[in-house]
Amino acid sequence: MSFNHDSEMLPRLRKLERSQNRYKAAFIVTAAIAVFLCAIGARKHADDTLQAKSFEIVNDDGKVLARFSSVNGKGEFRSYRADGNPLVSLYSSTDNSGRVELYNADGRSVITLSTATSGSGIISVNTGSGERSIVLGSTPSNNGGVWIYNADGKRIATISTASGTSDGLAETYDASGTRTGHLP
Amino acid sequence: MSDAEHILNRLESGRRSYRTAFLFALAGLTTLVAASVHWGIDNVIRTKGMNVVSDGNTLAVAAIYDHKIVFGTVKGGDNLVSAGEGPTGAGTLVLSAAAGKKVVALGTVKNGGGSLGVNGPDGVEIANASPNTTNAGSLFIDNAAGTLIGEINGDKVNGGAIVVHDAKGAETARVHQ
Repeated sequence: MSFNHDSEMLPRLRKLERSQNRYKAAFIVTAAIAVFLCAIGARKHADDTLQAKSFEIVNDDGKVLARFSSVNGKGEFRSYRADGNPLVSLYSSTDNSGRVELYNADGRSVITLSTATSGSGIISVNTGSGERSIVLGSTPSNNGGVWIYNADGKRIATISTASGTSDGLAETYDASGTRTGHLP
Repeated sequence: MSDAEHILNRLESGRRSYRTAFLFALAGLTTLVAASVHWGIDNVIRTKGMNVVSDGNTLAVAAIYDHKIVFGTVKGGDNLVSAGEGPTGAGTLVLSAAAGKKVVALGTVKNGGGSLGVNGPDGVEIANASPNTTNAGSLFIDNAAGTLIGEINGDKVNGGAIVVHDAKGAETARVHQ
């Protein structure tokens, strides 16, 4: 190797050495970051808050069995059977009050927890076809009451207060709506 | 060209390909970092189960258990409020007391009508509202010993009846025609 060759190659070698040193350092830093990220990802941790516009719980077939979402600016939770029939719904009424609805195996609403127009709470227990059967709630004058209906939806018994008083009252009716008994 | 020059040329050529590979790796790493950072709010998060935890304890669950959906709040291993699917495929909603006993149970009866049960602190039902076999409404109230002490019942033929019983279950008063 001649002197000329050495003097020509020496700068190239030095440049190459510097370049390799830079890449070596960069590679080590990149590898360290990758290892750090993998370690963080592999660690079992819980987020403080998980935010989304909708959450869905799906079964092994990818069918949605529960949905936690917002509709018209109001939150709601609904659960479903694997065949898509509803089970339980927690949502809001049109008057922005809370509402809970429970469905039977045929997908009909059989129990409703909601608010009456007066703003008081009301529980409705329905027949298998979804017709109201029992109502527990309060009168417009804020007295508690129980109302029982027959299969045709006619009221047949009441425990509440007499009109204009705060005294207890029990009444029974026949299917045509005629009062058949009362206390007092 | 000498051997040394050949080697130097090869090294310099390799440096270029190494640089390209390094840049690709860096781009991949950048993508990885970007994906791990939450940018905005997801439209939909789909999963097979969600737990809300505090201090290592699970406080609420929404998950699939035995192929059915379960949603509930938990304290100390006891369910507080739980919504799910009953054995007939109908919805259920249960409220439990701190001791883990069920105190309010919403479900269905055999004819598919709704059932609202209120239990004592021991978990034994003391009041139930549900449609009877004629699909008319009925409300039964038991005393602490489990004896029927009051009922509101009826059907289409006989109309409604409100009946009161003593502690032994004997009828003591009735509102009826």
